[in-house]
Amino acid sequence: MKNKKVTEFLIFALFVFPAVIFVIFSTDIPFLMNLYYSFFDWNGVGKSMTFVGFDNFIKIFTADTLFWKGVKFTLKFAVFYVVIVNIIALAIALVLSKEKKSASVGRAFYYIPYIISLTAISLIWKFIIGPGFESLYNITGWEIFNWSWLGTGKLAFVVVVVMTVWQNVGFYMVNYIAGIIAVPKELMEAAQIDGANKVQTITRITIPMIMPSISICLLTSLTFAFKLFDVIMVFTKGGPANSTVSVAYNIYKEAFVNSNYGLATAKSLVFVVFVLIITAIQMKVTKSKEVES
Amino acid sequence: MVKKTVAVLMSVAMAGTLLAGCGGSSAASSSAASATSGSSSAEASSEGTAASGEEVVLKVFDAHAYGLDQYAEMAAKFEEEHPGVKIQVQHAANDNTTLLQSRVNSGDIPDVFDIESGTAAQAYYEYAYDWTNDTEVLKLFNEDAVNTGKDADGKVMSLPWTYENMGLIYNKDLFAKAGITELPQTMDELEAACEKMKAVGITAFALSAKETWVLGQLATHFMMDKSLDAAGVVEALKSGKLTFKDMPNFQNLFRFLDLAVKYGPDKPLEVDWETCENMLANNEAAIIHMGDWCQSTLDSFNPDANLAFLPCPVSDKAEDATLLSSCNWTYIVNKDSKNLELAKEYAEYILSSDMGQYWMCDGVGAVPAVKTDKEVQGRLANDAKTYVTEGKTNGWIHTIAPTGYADSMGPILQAYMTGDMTAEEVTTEFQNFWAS
Repeated sequence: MKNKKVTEFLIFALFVFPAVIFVIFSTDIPFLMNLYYSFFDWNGVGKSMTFVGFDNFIKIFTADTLFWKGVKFTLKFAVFYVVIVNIIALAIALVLSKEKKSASVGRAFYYIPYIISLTAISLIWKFIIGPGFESLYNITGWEIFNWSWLGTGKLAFVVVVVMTVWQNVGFYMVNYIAGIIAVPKELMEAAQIDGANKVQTITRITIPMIMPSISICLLTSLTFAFKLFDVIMVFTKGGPANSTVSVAYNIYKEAFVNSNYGLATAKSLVFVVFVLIITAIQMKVTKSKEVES
Repeated sequence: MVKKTVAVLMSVAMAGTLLAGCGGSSAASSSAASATSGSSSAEASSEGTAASGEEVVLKVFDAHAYGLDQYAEMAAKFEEEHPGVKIQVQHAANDNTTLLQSRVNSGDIPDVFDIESGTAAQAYYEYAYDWTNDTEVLKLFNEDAVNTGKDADGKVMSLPWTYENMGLIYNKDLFAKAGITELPQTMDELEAACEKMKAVGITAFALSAKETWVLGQLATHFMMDKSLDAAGVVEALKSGKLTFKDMPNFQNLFRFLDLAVKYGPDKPLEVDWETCENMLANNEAAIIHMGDWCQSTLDSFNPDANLAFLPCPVSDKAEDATLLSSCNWTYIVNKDSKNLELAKEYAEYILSSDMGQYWMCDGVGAVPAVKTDKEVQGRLANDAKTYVTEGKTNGWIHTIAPTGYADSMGPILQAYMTGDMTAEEVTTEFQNFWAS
């Protein structure tokens, strides 16, 4: 009897072990090193580091305006992105969850941007906003196409939101479709027999039943928004005039351009704490809304 | 039971291969990193090496993507002359500092690498071989060029590559079309020239305001004090002897930016470096701010473009207008290299030998730092030469400025151009950056 338990544990360990190793080497150890570096003044290259205690953290909270500008931008982006992407994805999913040929074609169309490489996407959008808008302006004469979309801070923010939503909506859509398909048909039928209309079945049955999908989608979109880096790096470079500097981009710049490696690691720690708090709240709220089917 | 044991053993073996894959991944990931960042690693191998037993691999990091064909020829020649040596080059044009930094941090320090001289290079000097006593080698280079590779104690820690010159570049055909016969040398003349071009429907400016580094470089023209030169200005700013408020020409920077917005394209902040070079080469804009490093791109847009340097006007005095010229890339030999002698030889070879000069003069088209009478390909570089001989050049400020200068100040200047900040606020920001 005892022997069996031991073998079971061994088999369990065998399967978990590789994953644990990977997590330790790629996440946990770097995290601890990060913690270590955050107490030093280091240029990221040299052999010598100076221990500065909590100076890096003090600097973040007292002197670093650009970091807080980045926090503001990232939070604003997170709010817009999470709300917009989830509403659109859910709406599309409700339409495309029917088991029809046309629905699967539609799903494919919405999913394609998600699998295109970011470089290609940024080229596409550069084209849309550049020559594309220009010829649209020539045809329609609408001022909106003549605005400097990437040369004005507020408009650049809109571009970043629209672009990321457009790119990622397919991913959340697939999640929602999976959730919707799993809703038992009997519930729908029962509701219809009871005289519920379409809107009522969606709000009273579908949405409560797919709460797990919603909470997963909210979580992933929230973390995506907080980690926003690649679009900024490739597309706006934080510009114009630092208006689209996200926290991750600011940390990267601090480490690799300004050569303040210690300060950059400290910033990332501050931000981790930030993100942890927000996601914990988000998880708590959505989990409480989930229902058992 | 046997089945189970076999299964367990097999899983162990699989886990083992996984881990083995993990161990070997450091090499793989570094090549993946270089692939994603738009760099190409060219491994030139010569035929002679295969025959001669053990192979010495020299790891070279090259932060450019200029004259790649000539570089490969040069490396192949070196391998030919040194049987058994293999040159492994990583060319990294984009994000070269990030790539180099991660290579150094992961212990994969290249034997020979280059970096921007000045503040950026200084961080790497503790890995650098000290050339001070190799007078035979140093003699080959121009003295002012060697000075760009010195550390605070005057030791020569790195060797210079080529001279690069920057300033305004103008399109001669468009100037002729607008009837501008005399080159503008003062701010007023510059404005008059813009007005003339506007009258005949020419876009006078295509300042690449999307690139923070262009704005950062442009601003240094207006900080320059000819009597102090670049190093003197930086020192005076750092010590607080000179402030941006007292700088005689600094406020003209804002006048210049105003001109660039007024006489420039409709969306000034969307002009990236490629767009501005394209516009200049294809007669769509008359003036840009750039350096002779863009010769090859300009040629690719329009090889027949009629272009020349225009010393940047900064005040009412014609003599203040200058080009800024410096050896801004510098080659470091890793002093802990396993093949130190070979690495030294290679550095000397690419920077001074005939093949090296062929790469620099014909491939890159720039004036080498090494003493030479070889003809240089680039027209802009040749043009700049005349200003160098006339003494109308000064050194570079932005490479010896505090770290992150262009990345911190460029966005501030963008904010001025969009109207989000006033000239006064920008001046204060500059002062704060240098003071901290």
